[in-house]
Amino acid sequence: MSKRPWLAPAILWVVLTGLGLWLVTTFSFYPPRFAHEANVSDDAFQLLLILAVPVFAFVIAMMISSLISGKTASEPSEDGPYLPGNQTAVGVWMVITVSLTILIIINPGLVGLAHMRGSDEADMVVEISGAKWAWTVKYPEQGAIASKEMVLPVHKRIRFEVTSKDVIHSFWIPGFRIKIDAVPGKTTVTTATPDKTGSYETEVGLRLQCAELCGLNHASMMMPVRVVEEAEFESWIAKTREEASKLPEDCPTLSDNVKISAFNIAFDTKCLVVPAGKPIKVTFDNKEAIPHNFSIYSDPEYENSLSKGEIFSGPAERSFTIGPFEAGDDRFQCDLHPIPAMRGFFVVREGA
Amino acid sequence: MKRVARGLGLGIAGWLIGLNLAAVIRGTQHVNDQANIGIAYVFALSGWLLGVGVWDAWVRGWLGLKPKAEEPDEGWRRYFSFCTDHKVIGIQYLVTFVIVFLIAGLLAMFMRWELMSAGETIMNKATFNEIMSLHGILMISVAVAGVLGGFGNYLVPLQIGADDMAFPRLNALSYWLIPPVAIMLLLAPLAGGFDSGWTAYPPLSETNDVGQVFFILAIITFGLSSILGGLNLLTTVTTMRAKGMKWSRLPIFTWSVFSASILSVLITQFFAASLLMVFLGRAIGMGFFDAAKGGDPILYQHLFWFYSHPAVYIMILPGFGILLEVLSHFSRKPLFAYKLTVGAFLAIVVLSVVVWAHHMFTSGMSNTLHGPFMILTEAISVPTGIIFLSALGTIWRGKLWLKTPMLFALAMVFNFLIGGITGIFLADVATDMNLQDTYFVVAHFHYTIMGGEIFAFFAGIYYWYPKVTGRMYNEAMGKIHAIWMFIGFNAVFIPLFYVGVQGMNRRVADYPLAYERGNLVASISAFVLGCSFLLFTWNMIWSRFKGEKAPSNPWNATTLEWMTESPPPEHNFEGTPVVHDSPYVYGLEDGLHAELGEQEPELVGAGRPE
Repeated sequence: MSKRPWLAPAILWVVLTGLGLWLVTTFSFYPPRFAHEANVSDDAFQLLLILAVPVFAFVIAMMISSLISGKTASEPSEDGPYLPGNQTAVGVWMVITVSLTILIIINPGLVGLAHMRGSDEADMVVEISGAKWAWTVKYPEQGAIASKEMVLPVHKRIRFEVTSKDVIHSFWIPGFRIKIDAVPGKTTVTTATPDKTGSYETEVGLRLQCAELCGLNHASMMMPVRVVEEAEFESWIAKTREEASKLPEDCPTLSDNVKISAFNIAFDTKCLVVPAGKPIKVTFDNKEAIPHNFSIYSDPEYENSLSKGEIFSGPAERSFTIGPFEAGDDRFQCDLHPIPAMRGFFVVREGA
Repeated sequence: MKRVARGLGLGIAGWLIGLNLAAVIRGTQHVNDQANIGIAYVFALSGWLLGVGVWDAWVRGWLGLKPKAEEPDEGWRRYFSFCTDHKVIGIQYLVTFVIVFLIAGLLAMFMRWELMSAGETIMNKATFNEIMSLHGILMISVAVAGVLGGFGNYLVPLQIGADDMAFPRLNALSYWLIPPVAIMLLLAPLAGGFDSGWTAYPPLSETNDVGQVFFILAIITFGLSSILGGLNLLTTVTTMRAKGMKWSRLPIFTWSVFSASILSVLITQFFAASLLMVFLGRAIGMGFFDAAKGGDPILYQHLFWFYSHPAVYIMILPGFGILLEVLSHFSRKPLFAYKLTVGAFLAIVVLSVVVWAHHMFTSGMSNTLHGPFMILTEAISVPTGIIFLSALGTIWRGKLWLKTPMLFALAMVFNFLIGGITGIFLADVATDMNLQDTYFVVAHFHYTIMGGEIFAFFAGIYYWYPKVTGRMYNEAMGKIHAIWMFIGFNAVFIPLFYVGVQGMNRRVADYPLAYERGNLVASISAFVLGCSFLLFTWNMIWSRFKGEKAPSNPWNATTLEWMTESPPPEHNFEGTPVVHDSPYVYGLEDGLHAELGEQEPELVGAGRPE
C-alpha cells in the first residue's frame, strides 16, 4: 500500500470534474425556450447539473481507484485493513453534504420557487378548460374562444386559469417549462411571459400537451401554440370573433324535427333553424366514445341557458323534445367541449 | 397441491355464492355491478384462504376440533402447501416475484416496441394504456415484496440465529394472500382492464372500466399481505435474536429489512384506504374525490403519496442492505460507519413520511406547501449520502473479489448515484414544473428502483443462490449477465432522460415525431436488456440441477447464514448460535462474529410469542 492512498483518487476526481464541467457547459441539450419562466427553469437545471458534477465525479473516482488497487479475480488470500470508521472522513462528508443540501435549498430551490410561484399578477388572462380529450381556450378580456390553436401575444405576462370538465388533465407547454394540473371542480393558476415568437409547425415545444394520464386519447390531447407580435394577436382575435358571430350561409330550412351528430369532437352542422312557439324534436347522434351533450343558450357569450341536454357517450343516439322558444338568434353547444367546432347557431323564426 | 386445489375450489365457490347473495339482497342482477363484485370478492378470498390452510391452521383449533394428522408435504410439494418454514416461504416469494418480474418485463418489451416509432406500431391506444398500467403495478409489487418478502423471510431468521419467524402461520398467510392478487390483476383485462396507471388517480379511476375494481381489490389484498409480513419481521428481529445478538451486532441487511418493515406496518393502510374510498365512490356513489359532491380529487393524491412515497423506501432500503452486505463481504473489509448507516436508515424512515407532496408540485395544491416539501425532500439527500459514504468507505482499500454479486453491487452504486442526483432535479420546484410527468421522471425512478433495488435483488439472488439451493450458479454466465444487464439498462434509460428534457411526456401511446430518435435507441436497448434475462433464467434453472454442490460458506463470509449447511436444515442450525461480535470483523486477527454452541433443545423456539 502506497503512502498516499488518497493521491490517485484525488487526481482522478479533479480530472473527472474538469471533464464533466467542460461537457455540461459546452453542450447545451435544452430545447428552445419561448418564455421567461423557461429561462428560470433551465438556469436552475444547469446550476444543479454543475453542482452534481463534482459529486458524481467523486463517487466514480473512489470506485475506480478502489477497483484498480484492490480487485482480484480469485478469492483474496487476506482481508483488507480493519477500518470500521474514520471520524475525520465522516465529519468532512457530513459538513459537505449538509452544506450542499442547504445551498440547493436556497438556490435554485427557494429562489426558483419565488420566481415560478411568486405572484399571480398578469397583463392578460387566458382561461383553459380540459375535457376528454381536447382543450378549450377562452380569452375573456377579448371575448374570443379557440379550439384549434392557442395564440398568445409576446412580452405579455399571462395568467392561465385552468380547470377540467371531467378527469384530471395537466396543462403543459414544454417551450414555456410550465405545468399545472387541470382539476375538476377547481381553478388552478399558473403564469408565463412568452418572450419569443414561434409556432408548433417548427417548434415541437410550442404545444399545449396534456401531461396527466386521462384515459384513452391522453397521448393526442394536444393543441398547437403560436406566440405572435401584439398586432398580429389583435387581428387574430378579431378574425376569430368574426368567424364565431357570422351566421353561416348554408343554414338549413326551417323544421321542428332537427338532427345533429357529433364526431371527432365536432358537430356536423353550424346552424339549425326552428319554428318559434313550438316544441322541437331533437335527434342527437353521438358517434364516438366521448361524452357530449346538446344545450341551447340565448346569448353569444353562452351564459344564459335555455335548455341543458343530457350528457352521454356514444356510439348512441338519443331523441328528446325541447322548447318552445321565442324568436331570435340563439346558440347551441356541447357543454363539455365549448369550442367553435361544437358550437353553432340555433335560429328561431316565427313559424310559417 | 391438494390444499391449493381446495383453496381454488372454495375460492370459486365463494365467488359464485357471494355474487348471487349480493344480487339477491341488493336486487340487482347485472354481472358488472361493482358493489356485487366487491362482496363476491370478500367471499372468494375467504374461501381461498380457508381452503389453502386457514381452516387447518387456525379454525379447527377455534372450533375445538382435533388437529388434522396430515403428513407434511415433502420435496417440491412443500412449495405448494401452507408450509410454515420461513425458508420455504422465502423461496415461494422469490420464485413468484421473479416470474412476475419476467412477465412485467415482457410487457415493457411490448411497450418499447410500440414506442419504437411515432404513430401506431403494434397496438392501439387502449391496449397500450392497459399494458402500461399493468406493467406499472406488477413491477411495483415485485419491488415491494420481492426483496422484503423473499430475502427478508429467508434470511432474517438465519442472520439473527433464529429457527423460524416469530409467527410462522401468519407468515404462510402473508404469502398465500399473494395468488389472489395475481389472479385479480391478470383477470382485470377480461373486465375491460384498468387504464389509469398504477397511481389510479380519480376521477379517472372512478369512471373507467370495471377492470379498475379488480385492481382495487387486488391491491387492498396485497397491502394486507404487506402489513402482516412487516409485522412478522419486526417481531422476529425484536424477539428472536440469538444470544449475544445485540442491536449493534445485527447484519446490515437485517437492519434494512427492519427499517423497511416499520414503514410497511405503519403506512400501507393509507394506500388501501384511498383505494377503498375510490371503490366506494364507484360502487355506491360516495363522493370523497368528486368535486360535484363536495369531495376533492387532490385529497386522493395526498393519501396515495402518503403511502407511495415512503413505499419507494420500502423498496430501496432492503436494496441498500443487500448492497452494503455484499460490498463488505466481497471487499473483505468491515462495513464503514456501521452505526451511522443504521442511523441513516432510521432517519430515512422518519423523513420519508413527510415528503410526499413533492409528487404534487403541479397538482394545484396550495402554494404554501411547495417550500416545506421541497426543503424536506432535499434534506433526505443527507441520510442517503451516508449510504454512499458507507459504500465508498467499505470498498476503499479493500480486496475487491469480483464475483457476480459484487459486479451487481458496484453497478448498483453507479445506477443509484444517477437515480439520486436526478431526484434533486425533481425535488426542485423550478425544474419540476417542467420535468414532472415527463420521461425524465420515468428514467429517474427506473434508475432508483430498477438500477438500485432490482440490481441489488440480483446481487442478492447470486449471493445467496448457493445457500438457498445448495448448488453454485455458473459464474461465467453470471458475470456476463451482470455486465450485459448493466450496459443494457443504461442504454435504455440515458436516452429517456434526454427525450424527457426535450419535452416528451410520460404514459403516452404516441408522441410527436421529434422524439423518435431517442425512443428508437431506447427501444433497441430495451430488447438487448430484455434478452439478458433469458441468460439469467437459464443459469438459475440449469445450475439448480447441474451446478456444483455448494459448500456451506462459498464466499468465506462472516454472517450466521453461512455457518450452517447449504441449504440449511429445517431448524436452521445444528447447534445454538452464540454471537460474540459485530458481523464485520474483517482485518482482525481474532475476529469472530458468532459460533455454534452445544445444541440446547429446550432453547429452540424459546421466546417465540405464541
